[in-house]
Amino acid sequence: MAQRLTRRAVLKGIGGAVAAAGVAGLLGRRGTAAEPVRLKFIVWNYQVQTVQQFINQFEAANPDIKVDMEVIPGNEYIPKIQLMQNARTPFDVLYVADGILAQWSPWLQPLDAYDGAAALKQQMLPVALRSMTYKGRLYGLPYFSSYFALIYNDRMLRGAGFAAPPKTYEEWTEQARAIKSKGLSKTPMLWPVKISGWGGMWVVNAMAASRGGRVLDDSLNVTPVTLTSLRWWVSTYKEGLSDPNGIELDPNTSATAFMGGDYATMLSTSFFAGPQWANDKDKSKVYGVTKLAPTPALHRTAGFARLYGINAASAHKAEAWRFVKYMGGTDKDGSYVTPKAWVTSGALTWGYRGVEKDPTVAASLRSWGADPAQVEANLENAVPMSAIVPFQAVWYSEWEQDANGVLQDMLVGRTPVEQGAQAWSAKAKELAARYK
Amino acid sequence: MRSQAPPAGLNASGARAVVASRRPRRARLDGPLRLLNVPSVVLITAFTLAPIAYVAYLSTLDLRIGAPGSGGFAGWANYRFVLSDGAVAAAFRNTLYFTVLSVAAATAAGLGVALLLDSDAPGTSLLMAGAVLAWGIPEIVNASMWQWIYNPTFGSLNGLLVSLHLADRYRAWLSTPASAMHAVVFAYTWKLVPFVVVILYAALRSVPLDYYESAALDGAGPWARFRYVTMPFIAPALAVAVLFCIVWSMRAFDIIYVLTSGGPGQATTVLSYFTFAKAFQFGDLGAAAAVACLLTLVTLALTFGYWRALPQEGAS
Repeated sequence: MAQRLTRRAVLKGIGGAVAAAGVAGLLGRRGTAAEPVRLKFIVWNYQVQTVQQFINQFEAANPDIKVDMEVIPGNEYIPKIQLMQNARTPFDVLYVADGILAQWSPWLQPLDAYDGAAALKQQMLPVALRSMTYKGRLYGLPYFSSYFALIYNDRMLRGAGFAAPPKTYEEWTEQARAIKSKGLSKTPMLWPVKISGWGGMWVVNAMAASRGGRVLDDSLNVTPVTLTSLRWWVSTYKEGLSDPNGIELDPNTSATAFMGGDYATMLSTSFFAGPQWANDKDKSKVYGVTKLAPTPALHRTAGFARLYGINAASAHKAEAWRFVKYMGGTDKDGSYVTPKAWVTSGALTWGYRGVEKDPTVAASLRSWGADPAQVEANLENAVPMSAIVPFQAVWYSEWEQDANGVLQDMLVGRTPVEQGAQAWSAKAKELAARYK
Repeated sequence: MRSQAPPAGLNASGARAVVASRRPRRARLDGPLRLLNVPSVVLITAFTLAPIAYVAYLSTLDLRIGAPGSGGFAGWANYRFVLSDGAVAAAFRNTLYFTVLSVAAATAAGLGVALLLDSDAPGTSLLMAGAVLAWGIPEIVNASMWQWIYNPTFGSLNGLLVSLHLADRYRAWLSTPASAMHAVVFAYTWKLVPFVVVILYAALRSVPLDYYESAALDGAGPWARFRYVTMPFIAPALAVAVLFCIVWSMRAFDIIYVLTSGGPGQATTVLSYFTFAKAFQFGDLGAAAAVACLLTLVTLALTFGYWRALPQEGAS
């Protein structure tokens, strides 16, 4: 029977369609209840394939959670996150640098109350725990923790007649002079002192720590130990022992330059001696001869950590914690899955005691000439940056960038050390007053 | 001498005639047709005036991310703070130096290339294609390209100089204040020149050849022809090109960000980079907004002063 097309029939049809859509919507909603929660995870661009592998493993073990990774180039990371945060762009989990923790703490989620956090804290290395704690609250779990070490070209040292790396700053100068005089290197010393990022000032921090001191005292004046370090450092530039090109090099590019084989020593973070950098058999000319040694003088070293944090505005904080716990702590079986994997795949050292005892980890370290026990001892005894400089002051990053610029002027002789130190102190006091 | 020169006559028969013929058309836009301006007014208000007003508002707030008690009204405090900051004064000096040098260099080089193109010498079409190509490169790509060129360990500039025996070793071009600033200016100028070339080349093509022939018959040499025939014709275009170059150079950012990050020391920190760092690296949004407002005012003052200094229409 043919139906007549009338207004009533059309209205009925529309009503039926709306009803059907409503039922489907309800059913759909019931369906979405089983949909996995999606977490947005922001990272900087270091070995993102490795990070994706970790995510895949986590998702396989936690089918109710999916993680979408967003990668930001390292040198744009802080301003980009700042912009995202100002614009209220939603994200759940992110990498956090310890130097920016104070600034970001107002919108980061404290983690102390989460299930398992207390147990993980007990296992953390002091340097990791202190780097991730601000005003008594824990704001992250360790992505990695690392320390400053003397990275040296053993072949070049032996070529100059030295069987061991320098144990004092004076010995360091003597070795550099000998290497230069024998024509083994035009400028044996390489330093990462580019103005941006962590560079020159972190080397100053490491030098001050190695002499058992701090950079700024409680009154924000530059300490005598720092002045001694600076005078020594400037003298290496005056003598032509240090490469002035280092002023353009950040830690990554200086490590790449070191891989070219033209330098004897570099004071930088330990992982640059790893198989992904100086001991990379395919890319490095100093593969197999690059070794790690403690910093000279008292052999105390400066340490730091990078962490996984949770956005306090996240709608899925419980799921974010499960993910962070897996990435920066243990899996369901209590094993440090990613901290161990980072050692083998990225030369990034751990933030928990005992990881070095894992046979895979120890074998990986030994494969490029690092002594697991020595690495562990350095990590265990590393002096946190906050014990050397006002690292957790809100104004620290601004001071550091300004201080990096002044440091460059000191190193190449444009500004006397004492004048530069006064400029550091004045800037620190000015900023401290502004942020009081 | 100059009053008898072609400009008055040229203007009467050329440029002025164009202006005069346009006036009635402008007049016809009176009335309802003025509504056609509404979309552009709305867009300019939404995307230019409103953000400027918002930044001006931010500059009166105490916005220091992570600082205790931050968020309240600060009045002129941010302005007092930045005006007393030696780093802002240094950035201001750097900005002026960078702007003057890059605009002068771009204008001179752009004019030279445009004249070369206008001469129809062999290979000029290739030169034009090169100029347009350089213009089409995004600023961040241009900056990255120069980063490689200047690289102290594998840069092509060092390689070229050493292979030509003009240098005995690789140099860190960005490691001293003078060489860093001039290297940055050179890289920025390279990107700015094509714009000047395109604008001036178009103006040069509009100069009637008859005037050159008349001037030659009157015994005018190349310099006199350039001064009394070419310049009067291209002066308005040149003025616009310089104006744009000033505005762009005052707010140049990408090249500094990529090449030097403001270093060595503070040698290449210009106001735009300083503002960026203050806001997005150090979280001092109020002070950054104050610097941005000051930069806007300085740019406006410079461009307005420049505009006022130009000869007015009808002046001989």
